[in-house]
Amino acid sequence: MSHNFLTGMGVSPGIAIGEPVIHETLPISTVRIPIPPDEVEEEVERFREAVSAAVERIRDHQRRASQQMGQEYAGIFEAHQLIASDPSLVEPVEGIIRNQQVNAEWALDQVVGTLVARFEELPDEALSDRKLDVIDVANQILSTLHGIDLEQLEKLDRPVILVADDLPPSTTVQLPLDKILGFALEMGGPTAHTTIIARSLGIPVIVGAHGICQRARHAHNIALDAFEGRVIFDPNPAEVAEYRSRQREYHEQQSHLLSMRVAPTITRDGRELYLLANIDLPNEVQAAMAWNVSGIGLYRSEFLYMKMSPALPSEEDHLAVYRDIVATMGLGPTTIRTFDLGGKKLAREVIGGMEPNPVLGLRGIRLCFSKPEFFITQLRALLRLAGEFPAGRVRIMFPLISGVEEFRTARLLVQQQRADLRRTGHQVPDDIPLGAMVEVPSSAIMARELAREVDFLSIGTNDLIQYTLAVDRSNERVASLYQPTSPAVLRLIAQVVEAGREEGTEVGMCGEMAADPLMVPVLLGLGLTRFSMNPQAVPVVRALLRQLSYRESVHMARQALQMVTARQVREYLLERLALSLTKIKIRV
Amino acid sequence: MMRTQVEISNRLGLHARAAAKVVHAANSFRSEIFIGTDDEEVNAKSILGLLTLAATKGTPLNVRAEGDDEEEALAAIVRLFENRFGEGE
Repeated sequence: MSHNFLTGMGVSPGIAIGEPVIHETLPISTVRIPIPPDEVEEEVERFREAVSAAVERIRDHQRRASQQMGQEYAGIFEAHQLIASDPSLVEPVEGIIRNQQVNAEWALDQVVGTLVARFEELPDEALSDRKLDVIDVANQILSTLHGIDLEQLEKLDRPVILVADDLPPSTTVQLPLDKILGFALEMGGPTAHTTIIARSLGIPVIVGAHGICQRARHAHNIALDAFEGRVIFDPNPAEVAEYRSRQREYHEQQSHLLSMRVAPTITRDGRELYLLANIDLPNEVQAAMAWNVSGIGLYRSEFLYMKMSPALPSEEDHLAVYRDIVATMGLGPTTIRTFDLGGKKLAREVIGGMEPNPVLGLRGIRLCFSKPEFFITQLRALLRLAGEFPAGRVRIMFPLISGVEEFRTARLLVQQQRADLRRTGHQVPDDIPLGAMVEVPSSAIMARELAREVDFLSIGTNDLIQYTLAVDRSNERVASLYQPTSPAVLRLIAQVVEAGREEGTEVGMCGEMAADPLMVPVLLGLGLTRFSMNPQAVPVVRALLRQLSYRESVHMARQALQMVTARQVREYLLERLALSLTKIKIRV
Repeated sequence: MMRTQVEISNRLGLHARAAAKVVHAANSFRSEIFIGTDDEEVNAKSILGLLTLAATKGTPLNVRAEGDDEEEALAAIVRLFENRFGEGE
């Protein structure tokens, strides 16, 4: 295996091999990056190409300016073209690249700094202001060094792997996605909008690949392994062959899973389970339906707020989006979670200021209560929605419930709005299922009492793990302590499932754990029957459940609950499940 | 090598557009051409160099050309200065 690789986090599975195209969006960084001696001439060449591209672009601006404003105004572009290819700019830059073996951006920045200083010393203010032209031109060259811009991206005519620092959703939606073999990004995360879009289209994505933009510059070809979170620069023929074969294997597995999509979700010993989808966007319902889910277990309504931001969605906006989702879902239930902005989710305009400790701050149901005008608008839309569909099709779920009182307050608000809507002639049914997310340890501990009040509970494992173990998993320094196999977490989950059984209250799970191949057997063994997950995970979990025996899983779960450390649980599960996982070709 | 002297006679001095014309003229010759004062000399093919001369109206400048077309080059540069870079004033 070549050492020419970089690692990140694979967030949308798959393998891609192809030509990298770089697109940087952030303010231009001119850090000093050493260039290996044998790549120095390529770096000089890269700089020259950027200069000619900048000259070309300025010429283009000049043409447009002279058409729109007349020849006189276009004159400045004439000067800019000359500056871009000026020997007193170009020659020293090339000299620095060669002599100091550094990147073109850094060299250019040095030279521009000297030139600007020289202009600043000039006595004549009008001439001294010409430094602005130098800076302007330098920025044009820099942005070309930065890769291609959005306008060029939109015109892509060949399949490429898009390498970028960050891809805001506004950019992603403008891309010709049929030309994108894969994404490799410096930033982003598993829940970023771009990731979600790519996942639903089956495009592999690697995020957190720090330094990828710089590294990919001299590569003619890259291989993206989103299973391992690895990017290989200029893979050798043996590596290409290996990745092609794994790509084929994955496609075969996918089509096999697709062919099994109508197979019932049932264990070897006949226990039937329900697989539901977690979605963010209305158009994901289609993807979920393709995998034959029993319903939407979690619709995260906050995306509606992000989409409309800074405006707020009206009651009618909410209703229109929800109606579309519920209608598309067909007979299965749709569980809509009231907005869970706050925490780390972009909502500065909603909260109005940053908090010192947002994850423990105003988020989830607390934020709903503190912004009654938002919350009530959403509740009214949900109640009217329920009136449009048969009973049970629309369910309302409240996020981050930390105790019985919060649920009661939410229920009271629902009752008030129901009465109010009926007074104004709306049809609102009595029996709209109301549920609570169990993601704060206090609710898991009080699950019995909570289960008596709610119509359903849904365990949100991401936050439950984070709060139980006091670990922010996006903080690299402690991320390794985020352990789903922690016995403490398992015991809390067991307690919630047990409470539901005793009180006759439905319990489901909508956290990532519900799709974790290692944890699914334990959850099955604990008695969980409703697993809600990203639509793409559905076929794998279904295939896995069909391999398992409920009786054996009960035994396995009992064993795991007795264990003392997360590592012990993990090793035990890996050993017990090796065979089942191999059968469905899952690597853990 | 050939050399001569010119004087800037237009009101604005050797500003950006004038400098651009000098560069264009200089670029059409193979010779190396330098313009400057007694203290400082710059490449006439570099607009940045010409601008940093900060030459105002009335400044005398030395022009020097070296190459197989130095005579024509020098004549073309002198003509530009005499025509006030085509600005009329």
